[in-house]
Amino acid sequence: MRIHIPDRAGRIRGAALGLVFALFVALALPCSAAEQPSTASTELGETPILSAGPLEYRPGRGLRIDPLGLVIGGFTNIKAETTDVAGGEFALDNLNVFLIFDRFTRFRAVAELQMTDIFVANKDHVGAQDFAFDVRRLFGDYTIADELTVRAGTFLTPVGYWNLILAPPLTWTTEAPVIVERTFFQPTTTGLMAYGSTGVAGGQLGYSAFSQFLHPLESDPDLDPPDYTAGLRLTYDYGRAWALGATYQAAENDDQWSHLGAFDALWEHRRGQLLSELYVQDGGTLSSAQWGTYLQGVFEVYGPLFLVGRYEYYDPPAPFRALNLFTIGAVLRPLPFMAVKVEYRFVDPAPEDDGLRGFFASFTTFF
Amino acid sequence: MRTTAYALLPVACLAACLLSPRHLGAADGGVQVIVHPTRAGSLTKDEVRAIYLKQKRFWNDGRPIIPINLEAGSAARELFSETVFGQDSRRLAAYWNQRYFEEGGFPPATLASQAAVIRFVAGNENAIGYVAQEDVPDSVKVVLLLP
Repeated sequence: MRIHIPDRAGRIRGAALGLVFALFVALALPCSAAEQPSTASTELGETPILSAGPLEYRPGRGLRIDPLGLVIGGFTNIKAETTDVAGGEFALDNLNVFLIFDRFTRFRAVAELQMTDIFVANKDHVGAQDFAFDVRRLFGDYTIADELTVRAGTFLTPVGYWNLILAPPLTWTTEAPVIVERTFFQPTTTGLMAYGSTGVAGGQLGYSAFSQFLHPLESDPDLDPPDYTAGLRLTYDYGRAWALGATYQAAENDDQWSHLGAFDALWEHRRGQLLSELYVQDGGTLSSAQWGTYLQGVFEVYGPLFLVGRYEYYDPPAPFRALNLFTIGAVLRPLPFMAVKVEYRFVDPAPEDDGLRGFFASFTTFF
Repeated sequence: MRTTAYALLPVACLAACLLSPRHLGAADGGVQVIVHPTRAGSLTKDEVRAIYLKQKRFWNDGRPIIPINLEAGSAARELFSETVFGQDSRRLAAYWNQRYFEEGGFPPATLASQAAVIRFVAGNENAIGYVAQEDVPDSVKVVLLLP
């Protein structure tokens, strides 16, 4: 086979041709997308891809059974990781099913059933030894007005930003920040919440006043739920460009009260996003105050490919040492409700008995 | 000579694509937000944004608002999203993912054509929609003109 090496003029012509073609492809793609609106709507989960009688399935938005006003949806998370302590592990980590009842205008009920560690393969075992099933959330919302909805049941505790986007398809990293995973507060509250929002100066000013006075449904032995909590969260969301939130929660456990303050800020631009949270807690059974913060940046490289970086600082109660954590990774979002994530996290100082440092990867999707 | 011809082919396709009527789109003249003619008053852009994000769910008389979207990818939908939210439809999907998870919330229903939106809004006094055409029939009322 002979290879033809073009002359200089030929190379320039070739390069120009390639450039024009690349430009054409880049510009023509949005044109062709505009000619197929139903495809774009399908990718966003707005148009059903399956419709049979009263059943309609929208990708990433669940199966609607129309006469009942019931939607069955959820998400799954498949995870692979390798850490210094545990070695390699592959897991069908989560299968969460949502049951959403929205037959009526002012009333909505939501249940989230959670299956964890459905299949785990590591150096010690292969199978479903740690399989667990829980009712993660179960609540009803009654909307009196835009400014007031009353929620009763078990719901996500509205402290900070991350705890409200706990589902893996919503997050940019496989591993949550340490301060979100550690015990500043319980992820769910069982009791009552009043919340709402109103338009102020071009944005939405929102509030959530919540209290726990019942025992949680979830039977996770790692949870140590407080007997009573009371909290207030205020938010200001300026049209998805930026948002601020501040939360205070008091919690009582065995007659001892702890106090938690949280602040979160989100800034979004066309190709980037910055998210930061700060938690400070004192009192209760803590030997001293603990606090932590993180700053996470996301940058859209091209189309569905994103780069992620995060710095975390966690100062636990004495006598434990403070930690600095750094995460760098990449995320591919082929569809808005689906993500493939790869990341590496390292810790300073390096902990001896913790699986914080390592490679983490996951595939996750709403269904 | 043949190379020049090859080079002109994608340029011609590109020009055809850019100059096609669909690309120029009916949305170039702006988008008109429409409601049932019995609805009094007008709306601001912030109110329309709150309605389409389902942060404002009720009219002043307490009745539920039914927002209607055009299908994603249509010129009018993209112009509406850019003007009202400052983002395209795909980026807004992140907001609806969060609402879906957090409280079982869903985005507004979509209709395939502007004629269908006009018919729906004309027949439902709680509905709100938008169209890009200049001649809006009397069966609906324009409450906001977006540039």
